[in-house]
Order: sequence, then structure tokens, then C-alpha cells
Amino acid sequence: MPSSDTNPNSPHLRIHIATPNVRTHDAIGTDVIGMAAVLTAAGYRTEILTDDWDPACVSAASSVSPEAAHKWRFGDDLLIYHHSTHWPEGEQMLAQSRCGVVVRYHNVTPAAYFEGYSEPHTAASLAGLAATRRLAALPGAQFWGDSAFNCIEVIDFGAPRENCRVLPPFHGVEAMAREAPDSRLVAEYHDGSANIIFVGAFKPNKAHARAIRVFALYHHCFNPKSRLILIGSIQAVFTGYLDWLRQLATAYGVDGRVVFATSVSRAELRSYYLLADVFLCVSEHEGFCVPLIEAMYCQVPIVAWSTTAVSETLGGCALAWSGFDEGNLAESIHTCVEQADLSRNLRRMGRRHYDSCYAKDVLARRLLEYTAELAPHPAPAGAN
Amino acid sequence: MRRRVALVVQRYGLEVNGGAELLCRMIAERLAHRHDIEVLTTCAIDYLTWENEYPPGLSDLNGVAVRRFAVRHSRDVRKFSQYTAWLFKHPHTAAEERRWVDLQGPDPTALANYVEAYGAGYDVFIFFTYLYATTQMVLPRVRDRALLVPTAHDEPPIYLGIYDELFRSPRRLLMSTPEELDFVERRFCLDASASEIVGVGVDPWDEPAEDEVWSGIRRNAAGAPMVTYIGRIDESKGCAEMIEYFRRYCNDRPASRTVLLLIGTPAMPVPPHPAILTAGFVSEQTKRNALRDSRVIVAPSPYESLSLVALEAWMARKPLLANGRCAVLRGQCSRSNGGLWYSDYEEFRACLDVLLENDALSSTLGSQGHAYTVANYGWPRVEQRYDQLIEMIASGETGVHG
Repeated sequence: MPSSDTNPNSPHLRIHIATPNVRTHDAIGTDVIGMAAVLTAAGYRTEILTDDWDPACVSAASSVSPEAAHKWRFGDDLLIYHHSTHWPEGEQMLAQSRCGVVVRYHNVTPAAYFEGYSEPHTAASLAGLAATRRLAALPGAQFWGDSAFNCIEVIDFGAPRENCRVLPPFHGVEAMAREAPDSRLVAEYHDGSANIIFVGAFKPNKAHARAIRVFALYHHCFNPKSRLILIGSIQAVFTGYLDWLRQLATAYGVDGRVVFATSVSRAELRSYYLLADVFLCVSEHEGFCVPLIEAMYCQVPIVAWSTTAVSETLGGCALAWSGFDEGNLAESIHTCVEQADLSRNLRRMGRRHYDSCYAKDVLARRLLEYTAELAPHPAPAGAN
Repeated sequence: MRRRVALVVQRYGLEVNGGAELLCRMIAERLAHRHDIEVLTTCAIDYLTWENEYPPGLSDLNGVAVRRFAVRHSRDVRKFSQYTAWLFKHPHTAAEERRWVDLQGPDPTALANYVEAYGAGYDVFIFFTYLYATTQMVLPRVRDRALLVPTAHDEPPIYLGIYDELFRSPRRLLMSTPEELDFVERRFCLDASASEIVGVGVDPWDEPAEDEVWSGIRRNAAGAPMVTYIGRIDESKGCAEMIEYFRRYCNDRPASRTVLLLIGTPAMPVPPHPAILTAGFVSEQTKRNALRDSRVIVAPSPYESLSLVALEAWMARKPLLANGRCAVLRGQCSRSNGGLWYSDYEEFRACLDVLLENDALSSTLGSQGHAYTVANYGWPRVEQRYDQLIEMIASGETGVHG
């Protein structure tokens, strides 16, 4: 009789990837799917554990309900637990699991950003932070942060430093860049104006207001033939935030020169990167910031305020400032737009940095290396 | 090693005026000294109609074998214009983009069939110009042996999705200028290993002999200082704006006596004006006489991947007056210190004033342009790089991006 700690179906290790949900074009969902694909291709028996998944992006997933507990209680198995929010069912599963555990930490946006905008988001953020503290204290757990910034956070909460690894997220940048551009958008915005873009959900931590202030200075002092395009999804609860941003653009005299693109397809996103002269990032809180590597791959020069994980993700391939100063940032935009040689160097540096740190095969190698530290015996091809 | 190389281009011949086609002919005639070169092209001269004007089959032009294929139908200009206007302003499918390529022409069927049947006999294919069906339809069939000289610039068609796959298909992309390289890398998200700048060479300047055509033109100019445009006289080349600017200049500077000389095949009506002379398509010798005797050469195109006329002007030690809205022209002027550029009429007028009134400055600009061209556009480097790439592909080396 096999013991309860041994997989009765196979002598080989299985990897369970647990996440609250998997949705199309969602950053964490893309990371989950990317991980599963790499691990499966390497011979690991891999499954996704979730109760909320989009069949368009995942063909099959297993439930995290207690009834499914037999799936993840085997001692040889490995459970990769994606954490970015409080997920009671997930933590319940962790508590019962006897698997080796990896906490894949994507960061929790601090609650302070949501106060005054959304009580549910504020509460969820506080709960997420408390969950991070609990997860950091899990005995024997490993931690794979999207960035060193994320790793430091869990280390500060008590996670052993030697158990932490940096693994940038799997992403869909190259697939996005293969989309055919949207001719209508190209015709509309390819008009001789300098296009400054930022990509990020309309949430207060992204500091769109700072971007508008920087742009207003650039527009009024350096280049009246310019526009700022803010691209990102928006939840209904943040429509007040968006209204405020619109009022701000008016107050700074750049209404009509700031475009709020709140619902974009991947082809439209590709087109915005194509149209961009500069990617401006003045976000206040990022655990990694995938749009930065989208800009690198699409060869858009980046001007940034180096907060949280931004500087680390950039890797020196941008005009980045450690302090927020509208003048410096506006002048940096001007320099990028006007100096072709500098712009070319930034573009090339960014692309090289992407190729060496964030390309799919680079991430895959790193994931397999970390996995091998914990689970050195992938099943041979065809094993069940 | 001598290799069998096919150069594929939409039009080819002495009567054809077009920068990409001229570039192809220059490269073909140079490579023919060391390789078995065959140009695969259509029977067309005019890109607006694609009418079959040359006879189909094999012929020889300046020592280069030229194999021409008849097009089955000419361009329906009205239909193509209407479809173009619709396509670039509306969401559309890849199939609709392919229909646009078909309507644009030239019909590449016979050429494609030939390559399908006999393509194995060529070691390397070099395609000139990304835009036309001769490249779009044929290159994918021989992608593992293909080099593409895209002569690309920032124009609406290059944003069509069908070109994404095309630019990722050849073994290597050969660019003409840093601006073209920058643009293509960004447009198609290519890494730096996919392409390189090879460019073109220019011949040393030889003083041209007098010819009757030129004597006639000079008589018409009656000794007035000449500002000369050389190329297809086409709205898309910035000619309408240039003519308008020049008319305004004549009004603003009635005492200047300057004439604008237009050399090239007209593809648009030229408004009658006493200070605007049209010479039509002229011989190489007449063109060189024009370069020698002009005060300024003007390059008004907003779309260029490389201005050969700029290089010719500088070889003749003439200053260039360029459209500054074209990144390539601005880059060429900036790198060479061989010209001035304008972005609106006021700048056009100011630049022309300076170039016509300040002989010392004009002469310095011309000399600087000459030194730059001699230093950067020699044939030996260009030919050597083509030879290396041909050999790498023909010998099956993997060093070329695949």
C-alpha cells in the first residue's frame, strides 16, 4: 500500500500551480500559463489549480475545493502558489498541503492608494498584505518574486533570504508585438505630433496625475505638437479617478492633447507602441511592470521615475530619475524626441536588455533551474 | 566564388525612373562583374499602369541578363485609389490587405510561376522594394536564400499587417541609411541581428560633355540661377508642395530671377509658371550637366529611404535643400553638413535666400557634402559586403539571420 504521502498513480513528481483565477490577457494568468507550458514541455506533470478560469486560455484546471484535496497532499509534489491578493480558499489548501511549496509573489498594491476611491480595494489590499505576512512565515516555503523588490518585501516579513529567488513573470509581449497594427489608429495618431504613452490600469498607484503634470510641462515648454496617450483598463469603481484625471488635464491646459484609451485590443496596444516616441512611466508602486518590457521589446525609449521595482526592471536602459521632478522628466522626454542618436541607443539597449533578461527562453531556463533545485526528477515524456 | 544570383524588382530599364529601381540596376551592374546575375522583372515601365512596354523574355542591358515577364492586367487606378482610401481608414482583414496588394500590382503571376519552376537554379535571390507584389508574393517561396533591400520609409502601407511576415522572412535585410534601419527595426520589432546598413556606392564625378538638350534648357533659363529637382514629378514625392513654395518665393522675391528646373517624368500636372521649367526624362549626360550648372539641388520628398540625388548633388559639389520632415534627408544633411532643410514655407524661403545669396556658404556646403559622399559611399565596401552575404547564403553558412 502506498503511503498517503506518495502519489499512488506515478512515482514521478507532479507540479500544481495554484491561482485564484486565470483570465485572458491578465498578467498573473499569463505567468501561470507560461509556467505551466514550460514545465510541461520539460517533462513535469503539471496542472493548474483554480476555481475561476477562462476556457479561452486554459483547456483544463482542477478545483482547489477541499474535495479535491487528494490531488495536492502528496509529499513528493510541488505546489506553486501565486500570490497577489487574499485568497482564503488557497490558504486553506496550503494549510492542508504536505507538498513542497513555492510562493510566487507578484506583489500587493498598498491599501493607501485605494483609500477614498474604493473601500473593497482598500480592504482587499489590507487582507492581501496580511496574507503576505502569513505566507512569508510558512515553514520551508520557497519564494519566487517577480523582482528583487518583491523578494525583499517577503524577506522583511520574515522569509529566509536563502529561500528567495527572482523570476521575472512570463508574459505575452512577443505575441502582442506580432499583432497587425490597427490602420485606423495609425492614421489617426501618426500625424507629426510626438506621442508620449503610458500603459497601466487606471488605478491611483499608477500615478497618472504625475504623468499629466510632466506631459503638460513638456507640451507647454518644449513641444506643442505632442500628445499623451494613457492606455489601460478601468474598473467601474475607478471612474471617479478617471474623471479627476480628465479635470486635471483641463486644469493644466492639455485637454484635447491627453487621450484616455480605456479599452484596447492587443492590435491597438501594438499600434500605440508603434506610434510612441517615448514611454513615460511615473508609476508610484510596481512589483515588476510588464509594460516596461513591452516598450523595450517594441523599441520605444523609456523615460521613468525609478520607484519600487521600476529601476530594477529597467536595468539601466532608460532615462530614469530617482527623484520626481517634472522639469527633469519633461526635459528627458524632449531629449529623446529630439536626439535621434540617443533615442536609437536607448531603443537598442532596451531591446538587448529584453533579449538577455526577459525573453521567453531566458525565463524558461531560469524557471527550470529553480524547479530543479526543488524537484530534480521530471517525469519522462509520456509518463502519466 | 561565382554564384548564380537573381535580382527581383518590379521594373527595370534605362527608361524606368525610380530610386529603388535605379539602386537595383546599379547593384546588378556591379555584381555582374563577379557573378552570374539575372534580373527577374516585369515588362512595365510605368508603375501607375504596369502596362507591358518591354517585350517579355530574356535580354541584355549593360551586361546584365534581364528576364521579363508580362503582367496579365494593368492597374485600375480609380479602383486602387478608392480601395486605398478605404483600407487605411478602416479596420480590415489580412485578406483585404492582400487584395490591396493585388490591386496595386504589378501582377506577379508569371514571375512567381517561373521562380516556382526554376528557382532551384539560383543560389541567392535579392529582392528590391518591400512594397510590391513581386516581392510580397515571390520572396516567401525562396526565403531561405533571400536578401531583401526594402527601400522602406515611413508611409501608410508599411503599417499593413501583411508586411510583418515579409520582413521576418529573408535571411537578411539590407538598409540604405541609419534612419531606414531605425524605422524598420522599430516597425517590425526586429533585433539588431536581422539587418544592417549596406547602402550604395557612387561613381566619381566626371565633367559631362555639352549636349544639345542641355543647351536648349540653358537657353530657356536665360542665365538665371537654377534650383533643380531631379526625379519623378509626383505629389507623393513632395513636388506639389515644392512647386507651391517656389511660386510663393517668386512672389516674395520678384528680383531674384531664379528658375525651378524639373527633371523627370511628370506624374502630376505642373502648373504653368514663367519661372518653372520642365525638361522631362533626360539622359544621364544631361542630368550631369544640370547638376554641374545648378546653384541648388532640391529634395522635397517626405518619404525617402536614401536620396541618391543628394549623393549625386554632393558629388557635383552642390548644396542640397531638403524637406526636413523626412528623417532620412535630414539625417543625410546633418551627417554630411552638405545641405539645409526646411519644414515650412518660411524656412524654405530663408534657406533658399541663404543658398542663392551666400556663394561662400553654398560652396562650403557642397564641398562638405562631396567629402562625406566620397568617404562613405565608395563601391568597394558595398560590393564586398554583397559578395560576403551571397557567399554565406550560397555556401549554406548559418551566420546570416534566418
